[in-house]
Amino acid sequence: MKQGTARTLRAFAIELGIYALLVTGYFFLVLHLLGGWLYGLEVHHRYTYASVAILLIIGQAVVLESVTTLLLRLIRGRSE
Amino acid sequence: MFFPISGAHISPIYLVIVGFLVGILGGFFGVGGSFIAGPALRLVGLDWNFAVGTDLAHIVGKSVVAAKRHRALGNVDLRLGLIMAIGTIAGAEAGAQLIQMLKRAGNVNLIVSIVAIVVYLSISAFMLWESQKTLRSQKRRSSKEKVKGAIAKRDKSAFGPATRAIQRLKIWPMIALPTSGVKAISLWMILLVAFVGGVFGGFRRRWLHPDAVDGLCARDSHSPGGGH
Repeated sequence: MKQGTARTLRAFAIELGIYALLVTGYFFLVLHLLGGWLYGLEVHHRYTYASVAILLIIGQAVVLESVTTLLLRLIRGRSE
Repeated sequence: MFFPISGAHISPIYLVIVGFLVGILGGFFGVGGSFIAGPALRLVGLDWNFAVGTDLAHIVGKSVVAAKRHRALGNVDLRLGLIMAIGTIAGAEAGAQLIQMLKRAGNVNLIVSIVAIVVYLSISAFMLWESQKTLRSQKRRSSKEKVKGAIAKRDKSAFGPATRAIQRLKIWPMIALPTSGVKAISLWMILLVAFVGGVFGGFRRRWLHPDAVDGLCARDSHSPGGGH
């Protein structure tokens, strides 16, 4: 395997690992802190629930991706 | 793991794998949501309305991240995207209304099935032809013109002649898309492409999941706290 390809794959694997850990942590945090409230919101105020759910999904995607990128920059900065 | 809102027991590992595949396809091809995520959720016992709704919601997050990453790579033309959004939204509504008309006429299944088969076969045939032509022209170019470090002056894909013909159509208003490298193209062409895409999107979603959408409306009207 060429060195460039191996380096890209390694960077991808590291990014994937970090992102997986963050997503798992985010999921259990939301479930633990907001699970009950979200369920109640879904039963009584469905449109508000839909908006909150979409905001949480977008927040998870954007924030976690930004945190992963930042962590990778820090790791690469320390290793160089 | 139990999900109380949908009332389903789904393995989180299964969801991670499906999400990963959908993400890769989405980031690479721009599609992959409804084709895989919807049926994958249905496969584990989720009702259609939850499969469709959850699929639509997750697409938002996936698309935002993928678009953000593509933007960092310089692959996003915001002006083009905004114009296409207008056409797509209009097309999706038109597609959904069209299928409602067919449903009222009583022959929605036959017509939509025929249209779906014709459209998907045409797209497959076109993509196959385009790939073959591009590969052949690249092989010819690489054997004659390849110089180490040289940059190709012109895209040699099979779309080239069609692209140039479309850009030559002078239907006012003409707009420039500098990010995409388009000097001038008719606004109507972009809106037409987006509209047609939106029609098929609205058509297909309503057709593939009519029970889901109808079920959602029924649930909404009968539920104690929600709906109007």
